[in-house]
Amino acid sequence: MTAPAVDRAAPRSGRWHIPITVEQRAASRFLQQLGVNLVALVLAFGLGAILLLMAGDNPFDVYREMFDRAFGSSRALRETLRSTTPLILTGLAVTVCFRMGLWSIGAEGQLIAGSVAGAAAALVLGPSLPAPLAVAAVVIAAALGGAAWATLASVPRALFGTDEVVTTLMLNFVALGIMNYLIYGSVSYWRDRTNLGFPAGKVIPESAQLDPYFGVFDAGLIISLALALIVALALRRTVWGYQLRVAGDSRAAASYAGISATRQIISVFAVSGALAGIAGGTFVMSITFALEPRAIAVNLGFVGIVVAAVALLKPLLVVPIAFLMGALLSIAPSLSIFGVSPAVVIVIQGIILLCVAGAQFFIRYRVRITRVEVGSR
Amino acid sequence: MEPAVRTRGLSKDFFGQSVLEDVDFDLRWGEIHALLGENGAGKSTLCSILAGLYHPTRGEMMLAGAPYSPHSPHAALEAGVGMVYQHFRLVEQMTVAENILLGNPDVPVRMTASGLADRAREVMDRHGLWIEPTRYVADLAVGEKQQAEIIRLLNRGVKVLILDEPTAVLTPREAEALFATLRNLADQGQGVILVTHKLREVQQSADTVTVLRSGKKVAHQGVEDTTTHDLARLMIGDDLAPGSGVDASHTTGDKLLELHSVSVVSDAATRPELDDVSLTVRAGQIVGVAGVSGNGQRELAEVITGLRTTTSGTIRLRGEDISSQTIGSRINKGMGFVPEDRLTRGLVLGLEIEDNVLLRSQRDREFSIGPFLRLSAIRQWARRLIDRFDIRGVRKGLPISVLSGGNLQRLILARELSRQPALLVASEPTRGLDVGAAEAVRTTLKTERGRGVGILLFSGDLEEVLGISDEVVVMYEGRIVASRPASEVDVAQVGRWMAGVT
Amino acid sequence: MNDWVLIQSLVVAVSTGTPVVLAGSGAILTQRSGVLDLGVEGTMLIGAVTGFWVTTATDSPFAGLVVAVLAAAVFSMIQGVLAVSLRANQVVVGVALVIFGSGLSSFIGSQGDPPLARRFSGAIFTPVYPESVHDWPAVGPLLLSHDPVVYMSWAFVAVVQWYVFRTRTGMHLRAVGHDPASADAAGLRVSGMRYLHVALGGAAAGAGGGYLTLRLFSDWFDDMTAGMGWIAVILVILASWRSLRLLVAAYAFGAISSLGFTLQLLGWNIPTELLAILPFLVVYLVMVFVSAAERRSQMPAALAEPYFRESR
Repeated sequence: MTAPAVDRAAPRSGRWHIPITVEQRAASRFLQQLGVNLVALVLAFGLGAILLLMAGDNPFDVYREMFDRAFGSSRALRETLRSTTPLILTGLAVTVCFRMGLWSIGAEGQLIAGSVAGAAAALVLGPSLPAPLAVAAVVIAAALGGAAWATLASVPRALFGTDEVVTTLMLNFVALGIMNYLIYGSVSYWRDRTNLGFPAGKVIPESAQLDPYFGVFDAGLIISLALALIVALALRRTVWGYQLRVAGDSRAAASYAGISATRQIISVFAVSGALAGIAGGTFVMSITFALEPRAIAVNLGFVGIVVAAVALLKPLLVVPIAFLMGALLSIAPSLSIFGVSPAVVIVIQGIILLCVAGAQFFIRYRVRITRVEVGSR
Repeated sequence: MEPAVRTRGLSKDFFGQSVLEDVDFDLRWGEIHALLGENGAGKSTLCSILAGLYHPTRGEMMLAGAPYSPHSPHAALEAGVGMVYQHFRLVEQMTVAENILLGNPDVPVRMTASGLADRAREVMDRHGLWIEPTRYVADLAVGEKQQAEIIRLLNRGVKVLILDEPTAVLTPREAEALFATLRNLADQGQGVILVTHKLREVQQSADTVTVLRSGKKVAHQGVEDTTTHDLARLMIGDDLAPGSGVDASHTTGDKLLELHSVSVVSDAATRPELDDVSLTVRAGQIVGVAGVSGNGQRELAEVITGLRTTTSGTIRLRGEDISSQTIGSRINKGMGFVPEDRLTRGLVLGLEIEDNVLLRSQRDREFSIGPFLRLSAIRQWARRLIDRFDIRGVRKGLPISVLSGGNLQRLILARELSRQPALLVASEPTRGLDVGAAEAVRTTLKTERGRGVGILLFSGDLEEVLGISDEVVVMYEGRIVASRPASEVDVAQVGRWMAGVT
Repeated sequence: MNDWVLIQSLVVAVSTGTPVVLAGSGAILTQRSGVLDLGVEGTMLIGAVTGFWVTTATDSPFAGLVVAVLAAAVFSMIQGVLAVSLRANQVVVGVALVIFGSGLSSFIGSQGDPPLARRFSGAIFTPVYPESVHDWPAVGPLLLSHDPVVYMSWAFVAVVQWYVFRTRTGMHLRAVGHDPASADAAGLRVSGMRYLHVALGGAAAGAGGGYLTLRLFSDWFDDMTAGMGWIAVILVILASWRSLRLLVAAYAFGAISSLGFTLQLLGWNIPTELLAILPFLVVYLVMVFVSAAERRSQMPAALAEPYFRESR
């Protein structure tokens, strides 16, 4: 085991031989990993450019325009930062689960659960509470909502070993259906009953709305930055984080160390769900101001997976990567104005994740061209 | 007649280190040729080269008089050289027939299970071997799997059969059956290479023996021309004194660990994994558990340390019933554990040294306050262990996967011993280590015994068990079949107990 | 419930379930080889949009279906390269392919003038047998009223079952999925088998996607699969990697999905939003129940685990 595994791309018949050696690296440095991911990112934008060319657009113009619309003005920056907040949180949610080797793709559903719970708290408690308390109430309610939704996946996983990929996925669709039902399918507490036109959510009271401070920053962003720091510290400096890291690397070692898999799975899912739930809560407080299914269910949970993967599952790296993805997301609607399909943004996100997933190979393995004497037969 | 295999000046370097040097090796048709050597002597490397897994750095090979240089295991197989690995290359979820015929170009494109079974029966008849072809491999006993593997290779036209430590996983009776099979194959003209470090096996079954030491060939002779004693000297060299035997100068103390009729029955197994096991370990005593692997040793270690739950019976530590306590509380009560799978269970290879010395102590007051870790205390502790146990190769910021096997084993021992356990359960603590490192581990264990630690030692190496234990316990099919002071037994007797002969 | 309602519901269940039958049977081949392709949802979308595109251009749904199959097979090669050659995490790659497939299909749908998404295709698959036989009691609607793709899906299910258990290559496929190291030792081409079956799975998912635009909805709109691809992947698990069982599971999914239609026939009125939850809720509950009840799985033992020949 300690000698690096060597994998020769050996041919079947004896006539030819690919002179490539693939060796597993015993370990790799953080900067090396970061470098590989940055190359993957650049590659992704390059592939996106090819797609734009094929569609008849000038990629340089499109990218310059995208850059301007994301960072070019304080208004643009504000929009970008608003989109960044939920992505930091879903990115953290995914990070926490993936670090333990729990392949939860349920941030989407947990975000929705958090939005529903957060909006409820805002509507019920908002009118009678001063702003800071109302915001706190929404955050707490959203965290509880997201955590509760995650528990629907974690308990079967911990008790019966039910595959979490499957349950979290299905629960995403269930959560989406419930939110749609609350606004479109029923006259629920969340729905604006005064509006007789197209169904819409009831607007939350002003005490629970987050206005940008200093032109660009809002409280949601501050909450998410604080949480990124807390998650980073928790992973590094707490017993819980230590147990998570051990279990993520080796389940056998975790049980040997007396770590209860059941408890660890349920707590990690709860934390992850709470983070995704808060993403939903802050989204309602700073962007939609109501439970608006069409605005909320925009794959923020899935993009969280992109963020976490590109950030190498490091909580502090999640912040800049979320900022980048937030920029992409915030410009999507305006792309159609100058004749480019907003879908380009999703395509680029997809390519980024594909490139980063593929790039891990070059982190784990060293590929060399070697000279091996060709076998004579 | 040309020899089956001939190598001249065969050498292999790994990362600049020579593991095989200038080896000339000859295998004749129709002989069983033992390849004898300690761990790390180069015998596995030599076989891996013959089987096409590695390429030699220098030297040449001939197969039946023709130049031979396989670049893959498959190419070796095509040329007629096949290897039986310790991990069988059988698909557990498929039947014996499917496994035997897998990859065989003669199998028709459209087939049925019964057609396949008929074809497999034909193959087995041809070689005089038999395993019911419709059984699933997962349901076979280890010895049967090995037979299936041999049939599979013979069906691929293998003329030179290499077996890598084939008896490590077998009961003595299964081993005898295997040797009979091999003799039969040799009589049919096959060349058989038997890799082993067990002297008795060489005497018992081989015609010729080649001894390797530190990558060099030190002897090649007929088995009848040599004695076990000679072979041992050739294999180990003159620099090592024989096992130090029982040290009578220490005294044993109070009962530390007591097991009373402990049984473990899992729903899948037909017979209990542990059946009415009782034993006692006293302070300052090494109790050695001998047995062919797979006779309940793993289960016993796990049930004592809490990884597995008892079905019935009680386990007491210093008189207190710990049968239903968690692993964590057993750790707190002073139980150290060196597990058998040190790379997957005993260590977290992807994490750094600090995280690894913390393993099993994360709730200890010394290293955490409430939910928070005391990082500086942990770092200091890691540094002290590195110094005291001479752990080399640690690099800051990199996971411990960069360390060598010996250093990793020292790290586990360092961690488990440094917490000053009352009881240490050590499973195969010297497996895979070179002779010097293994001896160092044994010395450490004896030192700890002198300090009053009770040690339960599991080891597949019978000489090790007899060499350092005060008390020897023999396991067979989940039961303890014998329990005697080490001074009152000898290797032959323990061997019979291990085989289930009473 | 009277017979007519029952039969009509079953007919709708069959057509709703057909994309899942196709994609799921393909996913059986992929997963049997040891690759967990979670990207089926995205692959189906690629099949759906390319099939629609070609059909609007050629007025031939058959041409559309062929292109859907080919485009999806090519698309699934991304999974092949990443999962087989680059040994990437298959969950991450799957999610990435869904995102990418969703974006790319939507992007393709926005091309052209007028954009594909606003075009309407007159050419769709129609029932094979004449209207008159559809009214034969029971057999008519249940067996004779379908379009050619449904019959193709039945044939495909049978072929997959036969292939996996009754052919030499099928035996090799199972070996590669359970134990690639042993398969490699037996001289099988592990990577080649995996690439091939990832492509076959992708092709089948493309056919399933094509069926959405060329028959079921007769139209293209963004993210029209609405979770069907995910369902297909999961039903494979519930069907223990056997295509005949998958057929039953897919039609059960079809029946639950089209429950709204049935209830309407019965005169009940339940909000569509709630009905839309039902299939996902049922699959969730069944998965939890099955995993709680069953201890031994028939899952390909090396599913989602990359293989590379390793020495020592």
